Amino acid sequence: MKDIFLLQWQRLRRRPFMVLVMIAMTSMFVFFIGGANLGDDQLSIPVYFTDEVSETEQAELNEALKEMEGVSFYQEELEEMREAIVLGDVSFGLQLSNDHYTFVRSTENPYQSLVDNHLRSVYWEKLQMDRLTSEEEKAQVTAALENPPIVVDGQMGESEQAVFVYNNQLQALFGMTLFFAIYTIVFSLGEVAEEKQRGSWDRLILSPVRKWQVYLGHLLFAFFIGMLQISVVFLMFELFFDFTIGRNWPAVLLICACYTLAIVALGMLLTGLVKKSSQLSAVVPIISVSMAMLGGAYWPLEVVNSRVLLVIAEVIPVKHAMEALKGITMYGHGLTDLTQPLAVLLLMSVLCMGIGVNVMERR
Amino acid sequence: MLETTSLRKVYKKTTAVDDVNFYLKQGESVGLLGPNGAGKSTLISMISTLLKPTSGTVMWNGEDILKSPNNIRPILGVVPQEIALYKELSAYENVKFFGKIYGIRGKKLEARAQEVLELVGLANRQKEQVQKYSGGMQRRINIAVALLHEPEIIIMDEPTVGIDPQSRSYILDMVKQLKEEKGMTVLYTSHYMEEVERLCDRIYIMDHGKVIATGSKAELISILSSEETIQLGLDKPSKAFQEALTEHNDILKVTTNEKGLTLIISKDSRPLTAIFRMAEEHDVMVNGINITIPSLEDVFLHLTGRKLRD
Repeated sequence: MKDIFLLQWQRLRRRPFMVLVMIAMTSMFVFFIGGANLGDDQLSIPVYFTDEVSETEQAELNEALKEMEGVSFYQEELEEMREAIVLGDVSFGLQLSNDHYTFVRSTENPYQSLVDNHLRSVYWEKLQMDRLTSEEEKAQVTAALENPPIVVDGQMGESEQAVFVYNNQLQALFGMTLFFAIYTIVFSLGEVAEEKQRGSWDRLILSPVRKWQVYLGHLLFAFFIGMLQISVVFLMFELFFDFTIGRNWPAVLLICACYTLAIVALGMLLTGLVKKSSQLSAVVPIISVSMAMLGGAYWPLEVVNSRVLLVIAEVIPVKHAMEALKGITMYGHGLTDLTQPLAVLLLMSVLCMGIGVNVMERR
Repeated sequence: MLETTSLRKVYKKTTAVDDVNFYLKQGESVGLLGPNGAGKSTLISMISTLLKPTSGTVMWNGEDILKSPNNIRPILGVVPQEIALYKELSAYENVKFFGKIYGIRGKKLEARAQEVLELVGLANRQKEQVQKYSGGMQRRINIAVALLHEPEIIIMDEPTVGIDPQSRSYILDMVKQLKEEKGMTVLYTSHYMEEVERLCDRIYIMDHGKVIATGSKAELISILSSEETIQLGLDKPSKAFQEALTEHNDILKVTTNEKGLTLIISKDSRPLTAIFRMAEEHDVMVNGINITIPSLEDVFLHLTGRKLRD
């Protein structure tokens, strides 16, 4: 088994093209999709003040807007704001008046409701203050607001996941890395099909090496090359492009290992189903693109409304890996929270591997 | 002794090997002769334990190898029809890898690798990638890899397909040397008559999955001892002339070839006068005539009505 495993590395040294191309493609896509906010992952929203808003009120509203975390507001003329929205440079903008505000938007954006909540409380306070006539009343209310008699502390328990956190950089990094890793892993396993076609498989079978050792040599290589590709891309973006994967690298690597295992098993199943390695080349792009779409590698599944698609996503390894990776890096989940997605990935690995080896042996 | 009894392999509706009885004694060289699709490769796949037969047995020294294939595998050296090598690696790296999987290590591996590379005449180009070799050189490395673990029996499945005459001649000499100098038992399949004639002590002729004749070259040719072959060169093909010849009592079989016709006649008959008269009657000019003693090709033609490479 060791000799077969080492042989694959020796062959990779002579033909490293595919793996290098996959790493380059991943980096390119992550950079272009997720790298737009390089070093600044804040959402920027243009704001236009109508003529009725005085400069003092503008300053007060700006102060109130600054209190919202993760979003920066900048002043813009109405026409320029509309043009930016039409061109897709920003998703939406705000038109602020004295007693109301208006969203100017072209598409739906999950952040809109968060901004809306913030503005609602800002305007509720502002309108209350505006109703007060005497300065004495205003001073009393301001003091009461600064020192409230009752403090209501709201906490979110189990529903925490219902809050949708979107990080474009990590979405692109995880999605593209998991997507391109499918190609590397499955094409590495395609070598089993090629060996059978070429006749070298028969040579291995006739040797004292057992059949399971031959399979294991190939499977281990596919697993390690997949893990290597994922780790290299993650490290590269963490170290050189300021992407924040976080401190829980062991958990991230554990998720990647379970995902890689599931893809290795899926690759085995696909290799078993095709008759020739050329058929595998035709099938892999279809499978990997479908899995990436359905599993939330291209866009977050939180924006998908179709129940059917969400049910299908449950059997896609990409979905569970994305969920676990985002849980660790964006929602601050711990290892115990990973139990379910990792268990699903391991179950998929066992099922696909069992069926794959069986189908291959029957051929 | 390696022996098969009533060996049969059926794929859905096709019977690839049909009731084959075969034996191979230690130190002898046996040829499997037959056209493409005759069932030779399927037969050797079953003999080398790579394929399970539908029915029948394969015995090695009285032991059923279908039940315990691992007993015979270490003593087999199989040269597949395909170039079963890693072409991006060098010849040396290929030989070394296959040596390692047979458990050969260290100095012994190095010595064996050099020995087989010398044997196939590629020691001086061992560091080059296999993909840069000519077809003939690739075939030689294909053989070298099968010899590395010093097998007792070497099974070669059409090892000279698609290569130049020099490489072919080199391979044939090498196989002869393996048999004569190293006492190796050889099972050689081919659809080239002259290769089998040159290398093998005994020959099995296969067609449509069946063994249709077996014996030494002399024994097989004796099938046609009462017959002679006439090659008739004609200026143009004539169906009527061919039919007239077929109806003649002294002519046993008429087949067409590129230049004209091949006639098999009874040895004691004298049909030449009649042949020329019939040619004149059908306005056909005979521009060449060659009377030959039968070859294995004629035996095959006689048995199947087809040429080996049809």
